[in-house]
Amino acid sequence: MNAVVLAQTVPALDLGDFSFFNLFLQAHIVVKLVILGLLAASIWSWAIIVDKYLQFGRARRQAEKFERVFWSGQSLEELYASLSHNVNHSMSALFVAAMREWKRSHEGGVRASAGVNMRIDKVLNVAISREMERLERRLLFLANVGSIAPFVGLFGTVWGIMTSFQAIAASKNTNLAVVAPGIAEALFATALGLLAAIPAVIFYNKFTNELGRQSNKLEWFADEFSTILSRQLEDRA
Amino acid sequence: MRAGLAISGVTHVVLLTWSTLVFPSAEVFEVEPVQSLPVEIITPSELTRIMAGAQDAELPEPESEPIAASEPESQPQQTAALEPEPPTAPEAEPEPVPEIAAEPEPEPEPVPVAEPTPPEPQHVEINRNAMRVPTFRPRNTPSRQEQFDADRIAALLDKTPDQEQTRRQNDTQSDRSATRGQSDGRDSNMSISEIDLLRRQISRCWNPPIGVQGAENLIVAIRISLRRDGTLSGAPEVDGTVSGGAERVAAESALRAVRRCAPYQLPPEKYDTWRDIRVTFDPRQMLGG
Repeated sequence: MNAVVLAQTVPALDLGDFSFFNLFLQAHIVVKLVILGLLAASIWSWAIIVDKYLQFGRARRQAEKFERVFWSGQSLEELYASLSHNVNHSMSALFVAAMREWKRSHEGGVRASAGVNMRIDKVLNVAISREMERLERRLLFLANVGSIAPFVGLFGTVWGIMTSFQAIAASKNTNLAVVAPGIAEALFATALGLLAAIPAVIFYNKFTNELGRQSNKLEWFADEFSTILSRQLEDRA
Repeated sequence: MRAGLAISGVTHVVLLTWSTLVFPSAEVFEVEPVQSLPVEIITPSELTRIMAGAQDAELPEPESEPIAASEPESQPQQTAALEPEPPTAPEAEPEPVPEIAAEPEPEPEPVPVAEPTPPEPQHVEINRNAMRVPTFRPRNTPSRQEQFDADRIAALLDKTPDQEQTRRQNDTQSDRSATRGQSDGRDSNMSISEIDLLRRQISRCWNPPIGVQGAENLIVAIRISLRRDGTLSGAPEVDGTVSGGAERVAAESALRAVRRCAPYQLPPEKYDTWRDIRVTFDPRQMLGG
């Protein structure tokens, strides 16, 4: 008897209406904002992920290619001449910066080897940090999304459940048909938050790992190159 | 960066449209209508009354008798008609035998027995059949009758042994007889919950003699007489003798408690049971519980 009465009082819900889009349309304005924000965060973080993925892959490949050329016995002057006009990746940028400084020091015919060595080291350090800055740009956004998106989603969920409980209190009816839509809509926000956060965290970890490896490579190369140059300086002296 | 943004945006749009296409196909739960069980809510007092009444409730006479009497079947009549026949022709010829064997068709039993026997024992056999039929039939029919008894469907569905079933029958019977006693307001006994109700009301006002040595052993019984509205109709008295100072203190405290909480709220329809009531003041029960 009761079930019949309830079925009459509760507006007939079309169960086909629980698509993401309809859930979004039915939601409270705050939940809507949260969902939109999470969607934007997800799109932007995926854009960063794609971009960084390509960038790191390119950097790694170019570094390998450059190392092959560098250790192939080609003269440094020739290499500098070929690379100085199209500086496009990290290791060659280091090489070009160091070579430029070296050449400048020798153009004046000055023979202050210790000073030149120091300057070359400084130039290499600056070049390394510039490269690292270029590589890790926007990675912080991934970290932010990874740590904050679940909370934002949870906020949307709590808000949605709050409003749905208010609706339950207003309708004085604890039937599941009254409770369910609000909760489904609220949980949607958490789902989106997790959806944005999980790939962000995964790729943030992956990229920081990669970043550390690249930075190590750059430093090793810088050290090796500065030893080569200092040996050259001493030979000339 | 632009390539990444484009890729990401396109993938999101594709995923969202895919999800809008896929998500609505979430299966609607097929909820089978739950078979409703009629539940009656009874108070503890009713329960105790049912239990108590089951002991001496008079069982109704077995139902099989009237049904057997009213049974309008043709076969018993036929056999009854046959019954007088054998005595009239005790040493009869084998002719009636096929007739009898043919007539009670639905009965498989007499046919095989009847054929190979000689005439003399044949009659004995027929007689026995005739005797058996009326006693045999009624046992079948009441069981058929039971199935239409709406009150005991639950008992029929329950396949537990007979003992359980008869106990349940007793219960329903005693319930009926117990309500007979209720209508005139003379329910014979207070239920435990009602005694508890009174005890709880008194114990609120009771200051038990904690300071006295051996206080937990000072059990005092007080006789209280009450009016219908729950007020005291007379001074409460100590039931039994009071000896010693400590016991006197306990009795005094109990009397004080009874007076202080004076208008008691008790079910007025059972006034007869609590008009004059004896309450035991046991410090262990009233304090511990």
